Amino acid sequence: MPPMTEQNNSTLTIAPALRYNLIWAGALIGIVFCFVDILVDVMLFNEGTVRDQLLHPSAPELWMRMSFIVFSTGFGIYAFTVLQRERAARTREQEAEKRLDVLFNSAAEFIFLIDPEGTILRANQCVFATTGYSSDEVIGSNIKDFFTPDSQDICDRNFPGLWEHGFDRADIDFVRKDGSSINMECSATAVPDQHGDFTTFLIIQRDISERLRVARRLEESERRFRAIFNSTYQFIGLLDPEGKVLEANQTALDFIGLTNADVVGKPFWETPWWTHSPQLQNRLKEGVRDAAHGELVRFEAMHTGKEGQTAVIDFSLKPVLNEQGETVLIIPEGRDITERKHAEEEAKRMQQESAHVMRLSTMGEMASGMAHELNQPLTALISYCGTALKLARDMPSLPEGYVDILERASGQAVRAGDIIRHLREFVGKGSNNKTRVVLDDLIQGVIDFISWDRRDSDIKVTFLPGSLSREVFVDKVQIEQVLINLIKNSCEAIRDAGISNGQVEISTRQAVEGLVEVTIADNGPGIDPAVAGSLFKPYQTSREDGMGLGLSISRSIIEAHNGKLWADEQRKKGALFCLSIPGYD
Amino acid sequence: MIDAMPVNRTIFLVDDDEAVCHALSLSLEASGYSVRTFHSAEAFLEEAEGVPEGIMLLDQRMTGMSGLELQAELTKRGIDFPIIFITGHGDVQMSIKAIKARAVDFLEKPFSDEDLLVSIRDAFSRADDNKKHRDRIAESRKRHASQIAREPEVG
Repeated sequence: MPPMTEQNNSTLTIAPALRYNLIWAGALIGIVFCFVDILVDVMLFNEGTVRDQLLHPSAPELWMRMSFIVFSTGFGIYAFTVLQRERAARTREQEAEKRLDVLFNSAAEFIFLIDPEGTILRANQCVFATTGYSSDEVIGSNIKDFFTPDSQDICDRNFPGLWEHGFDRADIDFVRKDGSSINMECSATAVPDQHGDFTTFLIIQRDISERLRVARRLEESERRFRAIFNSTYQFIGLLDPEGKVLEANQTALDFIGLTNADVVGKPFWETPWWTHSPQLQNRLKEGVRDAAHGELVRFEAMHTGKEGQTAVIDFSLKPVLNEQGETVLIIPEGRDITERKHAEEEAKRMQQESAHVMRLSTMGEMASGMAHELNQPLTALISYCGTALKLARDMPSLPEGYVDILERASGQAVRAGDIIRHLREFVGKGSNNKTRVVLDDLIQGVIDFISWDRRDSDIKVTFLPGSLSREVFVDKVQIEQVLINLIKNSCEAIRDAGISNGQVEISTRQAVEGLVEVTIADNGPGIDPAVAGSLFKPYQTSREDGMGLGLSISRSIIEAHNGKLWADEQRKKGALFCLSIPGYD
Repeated sequence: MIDAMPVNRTIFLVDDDEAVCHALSLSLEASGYSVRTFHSAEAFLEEAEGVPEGIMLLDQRMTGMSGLELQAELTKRGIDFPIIFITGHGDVQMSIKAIKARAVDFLEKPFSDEDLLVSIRDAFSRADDNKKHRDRIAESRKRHASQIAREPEVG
């Protein structure tokens, strides 16, 4: 825009004598030019020039018009320049209005202008497009009519504040034409007029349904995680890197009978979980220090619960690292392994007991085997001595003491036999501890033991009880020993042969003559025909680490129970061992 | 010691231990018995049908068929030798079984010559009794049979 003062000065350069005539002539010419100008305006002020002028306020066409004015009268120039100014101002106003309109209508928010009563003066396109109402339905209505009753209350409550502060915001629900509602964040700004009074209010509403949905989903997810966090059997919590408790789950709290408030904010080692043992407290402090340095810490700890129960806890501290590798959180976690510990101890005890019996039986078996082996030569020795004596008696002359020596030799051989017999009796007496027991229960116990012992194995050991709770009168530990031995033999044979889907099936049934029968069948490689005949002999084994006494001892034990133990040699696939013992009536 | 020398008395000795077989047969032969040794129950069974009457010294624990099993097999075949069990591994259960199955005696290795000879004499007298008993039965059967044979003439 050229400076106005220059134009005004040029008006004064016209000769004063001609002024009145010129005024009238100028008025006429001015009127003509006014029409021309209006025409030119109409011609020039199409959209393109508006935009050009908007971008370049000193657009060339304006200057062109100025040169045209040089030929006109002062009045004409004046009128024209006034027109020019007004037109430019009007144009700018229109342009700004248009720009605002574009902004107004392209906004993704609802924009309303309302009067102090809430009557809607203007609303943008977004309102109509989103709500389904037409312009007529919206303009002139009260804005509160589009809110749910709850939201109307909110408006009533907040409106006084708006008068005071000039700005306010609230979450309201806007009802669409189809009756559904949109969650909206609503901000209201008072627009002061030239006197500073609030005559209109600008209302901007943003759809926050999606944001609320996300928030709700987060909340739901948080609730789910919290449910897991709290209901898991594990003890879980959160610590800051200094070891202060941020949170502990319900399981952990229940264990000591406290609430979150009792422990949150305290150093973990000063909470009741740990205070029973200064030693453990120190261990934990060390652990927290290590975890803060990014290490995973794990140790076993004995804890005392609220009812005085002790629990063995497999405890760990896991650091949570940020992108820089710094520990930002430590997750303490504890698993109650008391039962597992007990079971392990029980298994160990049973194994020791079983090993003890095995040793005893082995000694007995060795003594028995040795007795047999030694008694043979002793028998021969005594017999030879006897024969020699018999022959000597018929001899006419013998060296002195000859018969005595033979008799003594024979006597010593008899003595050796007596020693062996005593030894065998002594060893044999060791374990005679018979009780009445339900056979199926005894076997179930063995299966449980085996499954503990073999929990890393994929061989399936199953039991089909079928002896109808028949009782037997046995040395329980010895019979367990036999069954464990047989089942282990099966498992080892399966494992050594590299058979997958290994199966060992134990079943019981009532047999004839009051006998109860136990069958141990597997899908292993079966019994090698080459050793089938000597299967139950001592010192026979197909395994490198075996002594070869297992089956021999097993048979001895079963025979000592007036039973029988045999292998089914007819079986085509896998091995089948059978034992029968008298039922107890 | 031995009052009367046995004449033509045969003892079947079944034991899988060669030294035992040799020593016992020497001793028994010195005492005047005729001894035939077998190293397994199966070896004896092979010849069982054709052997003369006698008694048996039988080891319980042998490779293959055990003494008790041989005893059962002989009973099944109707061969009725008095049997003396000799074993290096005697237990009450086993001896009860053996005696129930009409074993004459049960000697635990090692045993003295005297004990063995006493048992053997008992066994032979049992064998004699058995023979007499059998003879009497056979005699009465024969008489009975001839009576029956005569009966039609009477009738």
